[in-house]
Amino acid sequence: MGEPSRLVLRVALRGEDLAAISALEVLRDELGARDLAALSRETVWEIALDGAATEARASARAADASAAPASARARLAEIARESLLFANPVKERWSLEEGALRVPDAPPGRRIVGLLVRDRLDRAGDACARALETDWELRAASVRRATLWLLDLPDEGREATAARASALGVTTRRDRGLLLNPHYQDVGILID
Amino acid sequence: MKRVAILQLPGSNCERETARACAAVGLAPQIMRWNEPAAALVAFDAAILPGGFAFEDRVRAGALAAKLPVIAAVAEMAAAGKGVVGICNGAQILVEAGLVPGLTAGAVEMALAPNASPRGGYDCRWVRVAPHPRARRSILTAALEPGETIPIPIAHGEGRFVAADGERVLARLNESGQALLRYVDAAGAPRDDIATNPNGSLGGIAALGNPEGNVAAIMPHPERASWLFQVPTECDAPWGPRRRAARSVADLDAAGPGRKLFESVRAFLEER
Repeated sequence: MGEPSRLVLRVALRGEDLAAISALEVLRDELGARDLAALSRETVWEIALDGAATEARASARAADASAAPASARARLAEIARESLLFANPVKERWSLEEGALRVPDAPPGRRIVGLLVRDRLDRAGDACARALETDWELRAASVRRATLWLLDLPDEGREATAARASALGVTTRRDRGLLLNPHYQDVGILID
Repeated sequence: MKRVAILQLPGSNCERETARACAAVGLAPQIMRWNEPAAALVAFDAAILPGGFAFEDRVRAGALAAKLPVIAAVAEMAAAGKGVVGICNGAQILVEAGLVPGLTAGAVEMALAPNASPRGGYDCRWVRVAPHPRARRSILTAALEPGETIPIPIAHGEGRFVAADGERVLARLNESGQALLRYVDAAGAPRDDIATNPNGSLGGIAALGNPEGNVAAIMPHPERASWLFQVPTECDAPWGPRRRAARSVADLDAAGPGRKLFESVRAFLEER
């Protein structure tokens, strides 16, 4: 059917992200990361779709209500546009992507490292999956909500820069790490 | 009279009630702002970090405040054997600062994670706590009787004590007597259901101390249960009937169930 099995919906604030601004200041001023040029944050919804079920429901809906059949991706975009389930358009913008998350390109001499932070107990993801099915007739095999922090660091090589981002992100001591607490959160490192 | 600094952070909202509760048990509280010279803390016998939402809980509750220079000064107080208590948001700060549980000096060994209730999110209601049977003498338990049940309100979204290696850490905390208070049901028994343990906390822990007992983090709000007028009329006996029977301002101004936790603070400090 050519239907993507995994989609990623990325949500970011349209205006200033005060949490990211505060975190950047603390990382620079209290944790010594003066060479951290920028820090931004997105909410990421990782959605694994049950393609066959979705197609069947879309077809049924089309037959019943003369609506146009929708692919799962188009349906998800429709839901993001027409509901507040993922984003509030007044204050947030969103984009829908297929496949693996990518980090933006960095200027020469810099690297952008993504820290994808997931709570081990993800009530929001579970609730979203239920809402998709009951309110929007879109069955997802799983929905996970995560936070993506993007750190703009000097390029010290791929491994070293990733390690540096991890040290700034993972809280292990009062003076080491800020962006996640490993006692209830997991982190994935994204780097080109 | 023992002097207690009530540390007001940007977003604290319980500093005045906490100061009143301290004064009611004969302590000398003084509200101190986070950006005053931290050296001023030297003059105090204890510091209390009150409830609220420091820095709007940005990043996660307590995470940013834990990095403040004034919290380094609080850590020095703790190391010097002075008293340190964190209530709700204050507890989150102490955990994020590695002051509780303090099994390994300086390490952040636990988290106060989002509540595990099925609905998730913020929960605000009265629950019951009791001293853990193996709790050591501490700044929060010095005046408590074994087995006594204290009705007390909670008001938090991130109050679940967790550790990556939960069972091992819980065993160590129980062994060392650092699990100070735990959530219990109406019969005083611990239960692993959300009605009793409102956030799904590891071992039903409501308050946790350091190995020396001079530092404690408590998620419920004793300052909101320090007077009878704060107690709901439907509260368990003897508090509910006592509240319903109150007829005058003087009756309502009597001590509430949370007062004993502040009496513990005073008793512990006076022993030192």
